[in-house]
Amino acid sequence: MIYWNKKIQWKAILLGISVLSFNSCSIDTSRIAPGYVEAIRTIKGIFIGIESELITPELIKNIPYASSTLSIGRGAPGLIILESQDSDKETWVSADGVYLILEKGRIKKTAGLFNNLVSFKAVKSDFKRLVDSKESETLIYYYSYDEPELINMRVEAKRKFIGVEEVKFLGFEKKLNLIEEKITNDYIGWKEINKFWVDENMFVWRSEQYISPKLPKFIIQVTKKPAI
Amino acid sequence: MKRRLTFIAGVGILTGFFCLPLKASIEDYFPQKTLNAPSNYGETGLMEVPNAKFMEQASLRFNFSASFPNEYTGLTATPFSWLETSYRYAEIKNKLYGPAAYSGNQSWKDKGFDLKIKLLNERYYLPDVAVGLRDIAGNGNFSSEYIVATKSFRNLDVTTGIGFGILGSDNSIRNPFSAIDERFKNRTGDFGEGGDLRATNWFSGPAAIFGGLEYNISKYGLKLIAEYDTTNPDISAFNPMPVKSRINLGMNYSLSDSFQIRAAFERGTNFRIGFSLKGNFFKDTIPKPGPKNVISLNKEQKEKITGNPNIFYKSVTKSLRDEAIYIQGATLEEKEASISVASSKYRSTVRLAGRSAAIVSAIAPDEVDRLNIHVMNGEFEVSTFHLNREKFDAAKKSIGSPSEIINSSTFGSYSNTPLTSDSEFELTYNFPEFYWTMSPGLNHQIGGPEGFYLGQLFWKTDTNIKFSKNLGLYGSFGINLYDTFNDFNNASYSDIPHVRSDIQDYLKEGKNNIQRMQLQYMFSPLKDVYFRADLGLLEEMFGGVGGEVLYRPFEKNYSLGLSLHKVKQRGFKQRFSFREYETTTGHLSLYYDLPYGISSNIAVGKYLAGDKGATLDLSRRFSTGFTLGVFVTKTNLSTEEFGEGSFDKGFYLSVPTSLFYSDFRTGNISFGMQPLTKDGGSRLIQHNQLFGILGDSNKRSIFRDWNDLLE
Repeated sequence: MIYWNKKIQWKAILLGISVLSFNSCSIDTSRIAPGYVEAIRTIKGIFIGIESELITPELIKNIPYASSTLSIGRGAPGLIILESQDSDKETWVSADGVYLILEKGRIKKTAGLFNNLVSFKAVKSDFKRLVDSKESETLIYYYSYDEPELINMRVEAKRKFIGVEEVKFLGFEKKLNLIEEKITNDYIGWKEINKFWVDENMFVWRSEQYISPKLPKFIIQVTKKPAI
Repeated sequence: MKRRLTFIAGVGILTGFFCLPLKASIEDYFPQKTLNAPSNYGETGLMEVPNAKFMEQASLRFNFSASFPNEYTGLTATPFSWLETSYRYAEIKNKLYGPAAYSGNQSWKDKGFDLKIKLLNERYYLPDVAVGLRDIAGNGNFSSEYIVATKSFRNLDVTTGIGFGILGSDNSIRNPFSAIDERFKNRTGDFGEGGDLRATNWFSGPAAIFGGLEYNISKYGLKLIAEYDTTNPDISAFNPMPVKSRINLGMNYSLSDSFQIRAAFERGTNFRIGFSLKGNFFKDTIPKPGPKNVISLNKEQKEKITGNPNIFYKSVTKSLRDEAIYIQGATLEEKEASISVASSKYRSTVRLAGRSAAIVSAIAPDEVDRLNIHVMNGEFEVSTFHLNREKFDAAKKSIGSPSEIINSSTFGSYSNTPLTSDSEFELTYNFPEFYWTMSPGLNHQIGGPEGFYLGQLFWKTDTNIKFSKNLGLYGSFGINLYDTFNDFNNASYSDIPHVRSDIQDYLKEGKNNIQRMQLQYMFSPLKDVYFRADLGLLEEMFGGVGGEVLYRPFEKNYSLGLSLHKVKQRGFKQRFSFREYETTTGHLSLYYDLPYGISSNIAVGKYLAGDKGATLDLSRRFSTGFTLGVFVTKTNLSTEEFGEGSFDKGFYLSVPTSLFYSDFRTGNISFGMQPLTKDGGSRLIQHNQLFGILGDSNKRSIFRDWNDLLE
């Protein structure tokens, strides 16, 4: 999994500038390893993005498990595999040990990130009522994190059905219902918009989710649907 | 009256420190967290005055702050959580660098080093307290010392302190140290050639109480700042500027955890703007892939291997390659499996050994109970891990731990009898082998009289022809793409041999150059003894013959090195011609690992200009590989012979590029700075220094990185 957030981006810019600006200020080059190639790679990563893993329909077909792509921030999409399923609770894992627990397409727990969502609480609600009624609704969510630890951060979520959209997937296209969810915590000034694309059975095929003020956007797109 | 009011205000602020609690954890989740901001000078502070806050350890911050007449550009680092060091260029816009014939209309530039040391950490009732020095060993234009305290009251940070030197310009109180010693009453303005510490000046002369408030509006990443400014930097040094008000007002906006912009109104007359970029390299925040899952062979397959070890060697070679590990040799015996491995992917020797052991264990026959992993770096076998297979496998299955493995394992170094010299499975070579790389490169001169920045963009080609495992011809060639070096106009007037100070001639005439072309022979004649011989164009300014010997006892935390070279100065064009100057140079070096990741090196010997003396180098390496270091050289040259700066000194840093990627890699982005290019205290640049190859693979390093074994 490759991910790339603002924090890393600024670090990289700082270093890129540094290496190009200061490398030869001193005559003592034994202390100044050139590192130009690395700097160029770094800068390329900022502006062009990091090279994507090769994900093809053939690759998906040959993997005997349900799979999705996951992008974090500006990182290239990587493949995640359904490791286990218990009722609505699905555990997905990436090759580099990032775990996501999803329930009905929503990220409820993570592991392997530098800041993990350890708990997500909300009253039960599904997308079907939104799609059917075309009315908006307001819910309260409670997010808990590790490193740094934070328990039950209250977030207000305003959700509404936006309309039907055609979404391209790896090797196919689908017409899906788009649900938009504005999440807000006024105290810290955290405001983001989550999006869920669901089919007529309210299965989430694609989502764009913010799960922490410290993490960039997670984009999950199903490439092979779980068998139920 | 004024002094009394200032004193009362100071006491009042200090009294206020005893009231309110520290911040709650949700503060950590503000999307635009208000960060500790840099002062105009670079260290953490308000505007003109410092505070007692620090960046987190292993941080690096670039700071730019512009106003009239003073503009500051600098770099601040925190090698420890209690120490901030800054290097800064100041531009004084209302004074010329020198006569027009010498430096045109370029304004004055001044370099400076700052230090800030934390004395006390903030507690429930106590503030952060720090002591600091500005413009140490400079020519005194910004020379100041201070003791400062800062206490946070929810969103409000209150700072007060006492300043001396430029920070004491307000002269609002009697110097409290003068009660201890009369000498603190006065401060000399004589800084000679610059470069001297002038410690007798510290905390002496006029003093003043400064202070300020910082109000953090975390929700918006905004910090509002007001300070009582006791400085008069431009008055002390150059053309006087009026001080209409001692109250400065400013704001600082954090666009992210790393980028801040700010604006201020200072002295009732001047606007100031600035920005800073910060990175923290204490932790690797990007997850890296774990070891590849190797499926153990079944009983039948393992029996086949016992009968035919070639299957084992081929299987191990292939599996290791998937981890970017390259086998150099291997021997399979009844009870032991030994492999020699090299990789340019893993910085940690322990990680390399652990991943190799996991693969060998999955493939080796069941009878094998010891895994011997011989780790190579370049031509040298740097360390060997003798791992208990049973404990290793148990820990891999999470029914044991790395600690249990370390207790049942031994480590060693067999540098003169490496596995590759007597292994059953050997690599075949087809000498001579040719390797090359190309990249763009930059040369600069910063802060010279002809222009603040003169530079060259060139294309660099590095080559290596390997004639045998130990002998190689290394070349490095530069082709000019664009430069501004024709503006150079500052010939060296050094009274000692111009071993470095003719840098302008080298840069100007050697735009298309052979940076080096040298034969190197490396081998280990005795256990823990390593040798390198050099012949040819050794660096851009010198060619010759010589070598280096390093004694690195694997079990110890010290190493001893000796280098000796007979060299001749190269022509300015840097082709194959030489100038007349020649000398013999060499150093005896002691490398010693101190606690807290600090490495020290003291080198005593004869330098290129014939001067004799010692260089002390101290660096701190964090677990991520991020390294910050300083060095200082003092030789038998007098201050006058050395010239401006009085003695050679500088700093360097190195950031592993793996911190920016989701995979392991060994590259570094590094840079170093010497304030002045001087002849005194100059050493020959040696490529492939032995301690660089071997220094991070002794037993102490293995124990330090032991947790990498299974990761």
